[in-house]
Amino acid sequence: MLLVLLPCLFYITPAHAYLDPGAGSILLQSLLASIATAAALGGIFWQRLKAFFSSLFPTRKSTDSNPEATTDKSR
Amino acid sequence: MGMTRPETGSFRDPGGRVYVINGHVYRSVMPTAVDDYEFVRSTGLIDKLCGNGQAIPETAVDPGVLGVDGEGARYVLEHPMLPFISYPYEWSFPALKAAALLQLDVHLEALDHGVTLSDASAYNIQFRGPRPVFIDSLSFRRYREGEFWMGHRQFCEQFVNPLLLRALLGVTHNSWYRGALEGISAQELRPLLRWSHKFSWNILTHVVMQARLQGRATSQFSAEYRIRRRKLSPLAFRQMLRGLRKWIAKLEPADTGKTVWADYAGCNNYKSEETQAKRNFIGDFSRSLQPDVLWDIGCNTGDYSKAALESGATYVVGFDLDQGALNLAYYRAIDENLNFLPLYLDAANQSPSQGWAQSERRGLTERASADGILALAVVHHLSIGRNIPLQEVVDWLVAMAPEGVIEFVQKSDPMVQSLLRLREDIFDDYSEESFVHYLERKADIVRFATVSGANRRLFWFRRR
Repeated sequence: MLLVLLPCLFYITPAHAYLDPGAGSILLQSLLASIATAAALGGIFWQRLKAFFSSLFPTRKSTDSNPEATTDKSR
Repeated sequence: MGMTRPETGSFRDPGGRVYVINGHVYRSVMPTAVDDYEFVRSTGLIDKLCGNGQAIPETAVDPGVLGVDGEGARYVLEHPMLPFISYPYEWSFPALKAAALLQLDVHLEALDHGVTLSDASAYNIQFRGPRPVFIDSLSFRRYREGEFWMGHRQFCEQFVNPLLLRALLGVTHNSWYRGALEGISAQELRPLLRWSHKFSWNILTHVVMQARLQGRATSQFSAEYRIRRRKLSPLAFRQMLRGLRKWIAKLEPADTGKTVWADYAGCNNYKSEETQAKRNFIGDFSRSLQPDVLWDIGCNTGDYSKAALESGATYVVGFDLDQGALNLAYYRAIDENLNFLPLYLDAANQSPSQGWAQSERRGLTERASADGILALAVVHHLSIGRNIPLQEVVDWLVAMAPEGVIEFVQKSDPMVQSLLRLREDIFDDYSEESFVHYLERKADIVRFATVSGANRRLFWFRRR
């Protein structure tokens, strides 16, 4: 039984050995491309919407944090 | 001019290699990398990053400095020497996180300049004190609109997955990373995740889907086909980087809450006058030696590293086994702006020389040496906790630096007694008399002082 199974174990792996390890990442990015674009556009739209409404009520001060900050101290 | 030898870790990029000659760090730019290098320079990106402290400065020098090795090089750049080169498997969780955020920030800034990064290696980031800095200017190249993020898989394996291991499962990344220098793959991490983790969009995509797609991509052709057919818009590229940034910034270790760390800081075994006596002794030592680089073996939360920095040491590399202490030490170095880098180290099993040809990443003592060391409350942990003969512990410490301070903790000390509580005392040789005997075989004792009621003593040694 073991003699029958053993060769199978060795035959499964070689296909992956020649597969570029980045293939999964590339396939994922091609799937995410449209979702990420939509998310980015949604974000821009949301910012503009917020800007529009805050321009209607100019008394409220923007409290957005600085997006340029490099080190994140979320402790 | 003598023979030059490229740095062992810099062989992967045919575009250039790194050389260290007489305390100077040089990087060659070979003809294949010249177009991209000149383009990147012209965009002003490097200057901007250097100005922000995000990348290490570089100046073009005469290629002649490399001798024969410089012959093929079109440019030779000089970088300032860093006090210590560290590897991601020696970083604490917050240090790895800071490095990940820097990698993303640098990439976002690069895209704004029409530049992208050809990889996302964690080894391209080093630390100056607790602050990460990007060191590989040849990773930058011209961005071509629509191209994929070629470093995405590497970024996940070298930053995201090791961070997730701790943030989701409470398991530290250091041992696994040290065993697998390229990091942790999505396919390795996925089976460890619980169902509840997969409800997170980021985990679902970057870990679960990436692992599945990798497994299902039974031929390379499907990925190649995608690369040719589909494009990643600049908008989507930035969105991916920003999404990851936002997510990583929120990751915290699952096993330690803030309160535990705070308690840790408040709880130590010494009365405050004892701590002060130790600080004064370290202060005198540091003032006398003025070390450029001091290693604090068993740095804990960095109390004595700080004392050394305040009295003459320029840079301190701390080493400890305790992740909670390392976290605290790291945040302290950031908050108090200390030139202090706390790193993970098991002194009984220090980082080895490993990787390609067993020399790609160098072991601790092959990599650098210190001008001075501190080894406070370390000897009993190695000698009694790990059964290492006292003489070997002393020899190991004295070999590390020409001068230093070692603390000897008596066998009657409550901390040593707690190490012995559940085991037989087989340590007849463990006594102050033997310690001094072994120390004096290699070094002169400059000064010693008793710093606690339990007769803990500090010995300032100078190697002969």
